[in-house]
Amino acid sequence: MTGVLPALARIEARRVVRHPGVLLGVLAAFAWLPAIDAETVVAQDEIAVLGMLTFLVGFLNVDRVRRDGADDLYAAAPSPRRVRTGAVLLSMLAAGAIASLFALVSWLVVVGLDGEVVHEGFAVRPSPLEAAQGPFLVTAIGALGVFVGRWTARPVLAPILMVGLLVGPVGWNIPWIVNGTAALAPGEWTLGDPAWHLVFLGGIGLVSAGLALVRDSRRRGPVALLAVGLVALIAGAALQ
Amino acid sequence: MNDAIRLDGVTKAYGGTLALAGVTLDVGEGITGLLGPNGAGKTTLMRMAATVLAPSGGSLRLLGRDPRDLAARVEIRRRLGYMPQEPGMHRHFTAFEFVDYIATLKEWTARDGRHEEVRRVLRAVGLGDVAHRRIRALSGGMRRRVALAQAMLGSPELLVLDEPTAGLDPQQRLRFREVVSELAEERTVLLSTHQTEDVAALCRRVVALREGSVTFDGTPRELAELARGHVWTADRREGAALSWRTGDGAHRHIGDPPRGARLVEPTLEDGYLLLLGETATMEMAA
Repeated sequence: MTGVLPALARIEARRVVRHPGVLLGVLAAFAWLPAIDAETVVAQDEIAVLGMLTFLVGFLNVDRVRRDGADDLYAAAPSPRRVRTGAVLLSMLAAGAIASLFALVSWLVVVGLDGEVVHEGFAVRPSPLEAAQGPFLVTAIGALGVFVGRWTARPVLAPILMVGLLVGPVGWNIPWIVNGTAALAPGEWTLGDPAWHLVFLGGIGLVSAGLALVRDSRRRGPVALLAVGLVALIAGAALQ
Repeated sequence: MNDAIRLDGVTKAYGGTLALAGVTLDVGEGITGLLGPNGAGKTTLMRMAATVLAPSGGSLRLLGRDPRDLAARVEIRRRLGYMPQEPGMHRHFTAFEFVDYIATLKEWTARDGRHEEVRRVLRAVGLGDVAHRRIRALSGGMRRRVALAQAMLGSPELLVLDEPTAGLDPQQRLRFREVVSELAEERTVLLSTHQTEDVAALCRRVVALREGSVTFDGTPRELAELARGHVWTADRREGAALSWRTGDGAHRHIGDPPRGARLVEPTLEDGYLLLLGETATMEMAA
């Protein structure tokens, strides 16, 4: 079974990068690129739509077997369900990789290799960790979608939760992105330590992954993942 | 070779309903056909043979192992091919992608070898040319063949095929018979069907289920022989419990002879219908 997870994850990852939701997110990111500036490059605005749609893709992909009515067929295979869930979780890294490309390109275009950007007449040096928030966020939100999809059997919930989590009154109060560079933070934007914020986002991803896997198996692995994720989530939230 | 499937007093209850009522059955090499009306317990038995469902009581052994044990169950699944009644293939997968996905779940982890095996089984069911067409674009018959292809992955020792010919046209059914009869050499195939022609054409043994119990276990010829002396043709419809007008205008009767009836050679279907008795009458009326 050892090799099944990576093999299946590769197949799922290929499906993620070709998924209409992800392609739409990529299109939105491209459309945003010409408008990118020093503020938005650290706020990761260009990948907001990709993030939301990755939630949807994670939800739909992990729920695919149930929707297709294929439970019997898959249950008769030697690989247990947790392997399939694990593969879908790992495939969210593919969406994260796409977001990384956008983060890298926008960083190179706006900030450049010297790491310095002139904003409102002042030279500012944003942290590359700020730009890394986007890929972390996309991956974590994808894992969140997998978790929700694994615990609910109602696909209609996916778009509702997606909107609620990211742009609704709840979503606006969650610090999905923090600004480490005060000069680049728009008016009421949350200031914080991007390194700890990455730990916070990683925590969201790991907790989501743990909860998704615990649905399939109460073995030590998923429980340990959940525990590590909780520690990261709490530490990140407290120290960011 | 030992019997691949051994059931001893197996029961399965869903709430207060008994789907299998103490079935004792050994299934060995070759093709065994499972016949029965809707609700007879066929699919329950097939799901048990595929390790998807556990019995409520009795003893079940598959490929010499007890599927209640997790390690044994995994080992059985490695040697098992299963085609459920409703395979539930993802519409956006291509035929190749779908079979490739199942092959990965069946632990074919090396990409090249896996792809070669996927191509082999798709070719075997005559879908080599449409391997890269999406499932949603395939006809119902082609989808059944994709489902059969995935069951053939790795040439499993035990094949459990639940109504594989449903929705196939005669040509496709013929192709299916070719493939399955080839597969059955040195393997065990358990085939559930409503099509008595498939049983007559393929199976060395037939088991009939009714209300969760085995009502017949023998060869197709023996099943047909049950109806010897009970099948008639006549010009009028009267008397017999089961009767229908055939294409040539005569009435075929199973049961007591109507006036002026002529005794005819029974078929496997006649034997099966006689075995079902009242159930068949109700199904025909429906």
